[in-house]
Amino acid sequence: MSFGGSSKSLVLLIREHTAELLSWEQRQLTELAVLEHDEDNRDLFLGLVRQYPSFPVIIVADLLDENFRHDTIVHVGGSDHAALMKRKLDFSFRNTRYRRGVVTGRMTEGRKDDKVLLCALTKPERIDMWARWLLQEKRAIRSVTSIAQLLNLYVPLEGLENEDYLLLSKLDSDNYLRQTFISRGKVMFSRQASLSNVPQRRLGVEILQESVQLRQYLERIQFIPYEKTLTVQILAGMPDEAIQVEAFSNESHRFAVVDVNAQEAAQHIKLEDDKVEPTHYLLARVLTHRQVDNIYGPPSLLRYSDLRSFGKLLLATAAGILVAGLGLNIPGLLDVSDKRSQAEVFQARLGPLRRDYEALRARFPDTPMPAQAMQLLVNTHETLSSQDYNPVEELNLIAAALTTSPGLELTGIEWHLRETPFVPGVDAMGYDIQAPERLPGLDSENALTGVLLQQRSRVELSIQGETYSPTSYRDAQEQVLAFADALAANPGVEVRTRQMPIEVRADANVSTLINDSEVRSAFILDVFIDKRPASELLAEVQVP
Amino acid sequence: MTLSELTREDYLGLKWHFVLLLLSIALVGGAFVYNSRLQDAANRQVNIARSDMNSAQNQLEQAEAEGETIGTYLERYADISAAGVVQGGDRLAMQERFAQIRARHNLFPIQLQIGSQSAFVLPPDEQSGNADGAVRLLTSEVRASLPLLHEDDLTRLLADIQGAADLVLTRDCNLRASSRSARDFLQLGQHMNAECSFLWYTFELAEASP
Repeated sequence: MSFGGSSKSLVLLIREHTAELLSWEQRQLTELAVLEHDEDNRDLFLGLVRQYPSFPVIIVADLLDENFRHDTIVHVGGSDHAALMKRKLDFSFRNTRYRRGVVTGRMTEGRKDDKVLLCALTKPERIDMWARWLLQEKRAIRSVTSIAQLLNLYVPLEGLENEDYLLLSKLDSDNYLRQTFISRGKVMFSRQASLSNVPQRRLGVEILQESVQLRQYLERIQFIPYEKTLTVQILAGMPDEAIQVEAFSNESHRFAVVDVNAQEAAQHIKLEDDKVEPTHYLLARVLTHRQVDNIYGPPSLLRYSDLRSFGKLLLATAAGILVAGLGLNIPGLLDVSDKRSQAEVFQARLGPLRRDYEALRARFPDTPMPAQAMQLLVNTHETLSSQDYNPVEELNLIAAALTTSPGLELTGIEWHLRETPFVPGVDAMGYDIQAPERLPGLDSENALTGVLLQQRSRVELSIQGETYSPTSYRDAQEQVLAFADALAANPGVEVRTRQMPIEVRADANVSTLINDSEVRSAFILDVFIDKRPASELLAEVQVP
Repeated sequence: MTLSELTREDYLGLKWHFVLLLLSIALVGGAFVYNSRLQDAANRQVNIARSDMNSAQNQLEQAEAEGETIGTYLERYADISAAGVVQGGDRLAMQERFAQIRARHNLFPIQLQIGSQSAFVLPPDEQSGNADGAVRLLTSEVRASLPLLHEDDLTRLLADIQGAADLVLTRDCNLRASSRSARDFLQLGQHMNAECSFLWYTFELAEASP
């Protein structure tokens, strides 16, 4: 498990004459073997590799034959871009499969083509032999890269990604000097020079010469302006006192030597001779903090690594599904638990409720019918009883009124219990009062029963009689009116004259026999009596 | 590398990975199904328990209300029942009552007609919501006509009818003078005619529905 850095892996560092096998585990770079490029080393190599069965392999080339070329292609995207890049790579590096093209920027003038960097390991046989053995062993080759390409990862770690003109030089113990030009964190060019025949006392001078020579080339291809200073950082297994190059710093070059043995990362490198090379330091530094991307490896080479990644992806997906699925089930399970608790609470309450019910029922007295039916019967009985009016009350009312009109003689009285007519109006809220609906099943001769059940009855009287006066027509007429007024003076009583002794209305014909006899004529009064209690009637009068 | 580039050998190499993936999918699917069933069962259980509890609660509340109703109405019902209102309507008893009233007050002969009985199932009111169809109201129209010596004959007849315990409501009552002069009233005889109709109400319990 690694956070930010590479996980455990095997590193196969391929140099011009040897291949060095290292393991990277628990942030420790350990040298396993240094082997020559010889078919006879196959068994030894594979024997070592088999000791680390689950370690993927990173192949890092540190070869003279790594070429960098700059070109331009038309600015297109998608498959056209890929096709153009392939064409360029085929043209530049026909004989190797370890190659790559990347866009580094864009021209500012003309067609504004893309600037591309084409790079390749042009001596593939140095890698092919080891790669073939690994593939035969079905080992996962995670990436194929080079020391120059690793510097792309190293530069940000050292905070040098903003340097415009940086020449990172790596001087190994065999005095091979790899010089890599980096502009704003991007590797633009790299080459390796052999200083193997140079005595140590002249190393500084030779490094200066190589740097000046490279700068001249970079100026010629317009990577560095003439007036700019080139920062030259030299990674070496010795201090500047041994190399003596920093003293040559001037306006065009500023030298700085990094003694890798004095760096903290060197503590994590375990070698046979305990002498840390700049290459080892670079590897340890990068592996600690970064995943090493594949640069040169073709898909066929990375087959088992891809399968391994695919397998890991499947396992991760399975684990993700398992965790997510089980996680999503947790709220449901909690809900189930909650509902079961609720059910238990409800069931616990059920017993006392049933006991209370039984106890209550046991206390009930015997009844001849269900309580609701009894209630309905009693209420209906009381409703009807409340409208059990005695006509004698109205006879007494008439008798009292008759005392005001001694000249009247009654010939008939009709007393009826009838429906109170509906009077449209509005209620206190301002809504129209709806006419009451008749009870279904109670019509024609039983309609009055419906009216009584709805408590909408009133008493209607029809009083027939005769009036007489020995002398005056007016006196006879006024006796009837006085009788009507006396009746209407009672609360809830309304009187209408159906027939007066003499119709004196202007729109009526008057016909009577005038002789010496007394004045005698018939009349009919209709009386409507609202039998509700006087308090209710008064309240209704007060409401507008 | 794409999936299409994988060979049969590659798939075989990854068989355990696929098996684990399928196993995890099956496990999670099974867990969802099982969880869903558990939830259904728990929902059913809680719904049944809630329904049982609500039912018991309602039963108790209904019983309490019923107890109150019984306490409130039982005595009044007993009075009504004792008055013979809760039965089909005894027509012979009604005729006997008119005969007794006539004899008691020395009334002229009474022409009595009792109409056929009609029944009406009482609709429940707001208070007795569960009593739908439980009680029938039986109605008979009773007509009585008789000559009167004086208005008091009618007064006594009506007072006795209303004074009885059963439920007889006066519907119409017509009083008409038959003598045309005041001198006629000096003779003992039939000076008026009265014709009254009454609504005779009784109650009957409807038979329970099957």
